Amino acid sequence: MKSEKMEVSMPAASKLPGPVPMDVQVSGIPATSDDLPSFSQYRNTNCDLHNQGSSKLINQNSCDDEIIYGQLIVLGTNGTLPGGDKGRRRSCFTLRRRKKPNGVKPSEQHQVLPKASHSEAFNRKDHHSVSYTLPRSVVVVPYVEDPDTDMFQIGRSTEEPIDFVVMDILPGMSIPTNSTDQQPQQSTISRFACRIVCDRKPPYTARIYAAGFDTSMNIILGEKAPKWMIEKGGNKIMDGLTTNGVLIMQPKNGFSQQSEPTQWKETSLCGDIYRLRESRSAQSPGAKVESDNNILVNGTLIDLCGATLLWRSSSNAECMPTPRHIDQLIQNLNLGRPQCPVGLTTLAFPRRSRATRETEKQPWVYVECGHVHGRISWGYQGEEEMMCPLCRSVGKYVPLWIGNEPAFYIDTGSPTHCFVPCGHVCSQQTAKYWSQTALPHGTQAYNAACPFCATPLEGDQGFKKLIWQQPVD
Amino acid sequence: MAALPRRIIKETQRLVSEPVPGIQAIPDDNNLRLFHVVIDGPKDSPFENGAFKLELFLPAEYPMAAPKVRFLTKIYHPNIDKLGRICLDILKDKWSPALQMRTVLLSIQALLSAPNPDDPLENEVAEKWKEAEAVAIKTAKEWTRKYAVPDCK
Amino acid sequence: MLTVTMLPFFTVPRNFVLLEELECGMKGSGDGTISWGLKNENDATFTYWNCTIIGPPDTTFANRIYTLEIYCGESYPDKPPKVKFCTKINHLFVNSAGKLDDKFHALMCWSRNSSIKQLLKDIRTSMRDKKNCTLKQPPENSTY
Repeated sequence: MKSEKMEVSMPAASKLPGPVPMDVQVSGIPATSDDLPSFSQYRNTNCDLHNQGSSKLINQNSCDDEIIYGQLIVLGTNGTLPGGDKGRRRSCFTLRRRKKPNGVKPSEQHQVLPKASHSEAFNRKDHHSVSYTLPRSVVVVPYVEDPDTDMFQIGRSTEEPIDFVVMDILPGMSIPTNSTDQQPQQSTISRFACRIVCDRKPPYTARIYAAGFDTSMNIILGEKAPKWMIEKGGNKIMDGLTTNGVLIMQPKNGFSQQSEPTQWKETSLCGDIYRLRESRSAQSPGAKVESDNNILVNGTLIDLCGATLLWRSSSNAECMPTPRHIDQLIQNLNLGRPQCPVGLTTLAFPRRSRATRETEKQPWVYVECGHVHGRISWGYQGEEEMMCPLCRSVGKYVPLWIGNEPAFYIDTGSPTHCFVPCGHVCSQQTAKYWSQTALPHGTQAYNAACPFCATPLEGDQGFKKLIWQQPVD
Repeated sequence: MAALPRRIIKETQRLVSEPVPGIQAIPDDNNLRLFHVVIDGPKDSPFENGAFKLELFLPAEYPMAAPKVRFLTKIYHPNIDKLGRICLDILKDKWSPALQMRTVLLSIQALLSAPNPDDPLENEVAEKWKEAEAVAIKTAKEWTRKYAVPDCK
Repeated sequence: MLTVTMLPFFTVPRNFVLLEELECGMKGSGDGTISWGLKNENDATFTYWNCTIIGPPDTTFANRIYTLEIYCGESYPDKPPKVKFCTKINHLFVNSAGKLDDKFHALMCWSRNSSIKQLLKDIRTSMRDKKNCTLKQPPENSTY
């Protein structure tokens, strides 16, 4: 009965004017606006919330004020965490407008005390505060409620103040054949790493700040953390950085085909932007960058030292494919009945939901030349390298996996390229963008990596155009 | 023991349905890995008008290993010996599993058009080919007439 | 799923078996105590083979070179070849005309996996048999 009602109401609703769910045209795929889910539907993070666009259309009161600020996606995950999403520990977190505001902002008081515990603000369990530990004293800045903002906290801690639990990501872990549940023994991600504060009113600006409030609603910057006093609006205020810092990279031109990566910078506790320190946890901060701010733009990368997050703002969902698009792209590839030039068998990508293990029809690629084959054992040149039967180039030979996470796509182009050496398939622009985007790797190095599995990219380009053999018969 | 690999079935089907001009390859009734091949001597070569019989066998490792091919018809050629063995790189170290029976047979046909006395299998023939090409070609033509022209057989 | 026509798929045809044996013989087979090759190097039918066995030490066959001729018929290797010694030999399984008896172990148990090389090895091994190793041998270089 329910489904019947849906069938009746959906087409009628789609004719109504109003916000149209995302409408993406992919070459060769007929895409009509009424059969594509909208941004908020694409990830079922909250089961009692429905498709934003269509729910507005069919006028369900309960969902009327559903506002999505944006999403955070962990780089190196491919749709879910390698071991599966669990509660607040997941591959993607959607920031929704809260029923009641929970944002806080610094008060103008600064209390200088011999010890933090002497502060009234510090001791009161229902008040937020930030303590800057100096050699012989402590500066405590009480934070006060801000009815205009919502706050979201991110960190490794599974304690209640953390909205989005982020653990370290090991390169290659999301590749089904590599999947293990292991965690690095020592994490470098802070338990209360950062917080994002979103304006509750349009345009719903989201800002990022280093460090999060713990269970006692405190942020304590230890003696070793960089801290300083600056003048802001005539007042002298304290600011600082966390030990491993919260780095951000705001791409030029947002997250689109025109995107260009920029330099990584660091956000402070107060949300100012600084150049990188000499080393990740050096004690003196980099130079302040007056021209930059801590506002998250579509495509901003946030590095927590151990995991990197991508911010996608909901207003820019149009340039992102939906899972159904990706399914359609996979199907289009499969409909071409690509052939293994050696086995003369038809190759096919598994459907997204089933891409959890290698199949018999799995396409494999010689990453040196991009020739796609089935799995064959010929031309071994040492342990990792093999010779391509078609062109005799020698290099790694790996199974191809579809990049499942739509948020990492920069456009909705056909999946024509793969990352080297992991074999994750995506559109050319997507491959190009990520290959040009250096990501913090450990505490010192910067490396371009595959967004779907965090494997550092190799080769001249870091990606390769796939060459498929179409059937001869 | 596995069934005949799909690849061999497909290759056979295509060889039969879309034969290469001047090349006939028919699978043996009792052994589907064995092919009876006839290659017509290419035009403007000393082997013109000849029909050369070969046998081609796909070993168990095929396509990871090259097919085995041998001339049955006697031929005067610097790269083919008295036992019918063929000196062709793709049948040896330059084999690739992306090559097929079709490509192998085409290469053999090309070898008839362009003998390569610098990489000989049959030294005597190769020397003759280098020293007195006209004589060698004359002999090749004679052998073709004698052994490879269907009427005379 | 097994069909009758599947069975012959994997047998290597006679000529390709013998071609391989020829190439194996040309490469030499290690210790040089046995050798084999075509009687006529241009014999594209691979029918007649010339072989040698050097008698094993500590037997009456020691240090003698025995030449023998092997005939591989049309049904080789499904059926065993015929073996005839050229050098005169005194051996339990070799008759007065030099022919190796069909009841010789390696011929009796002949299979597709057998080969000229293995047959020659088996003949040489048989020279060490208690009943053979002390047999008085005909004068060297005498032939049938």
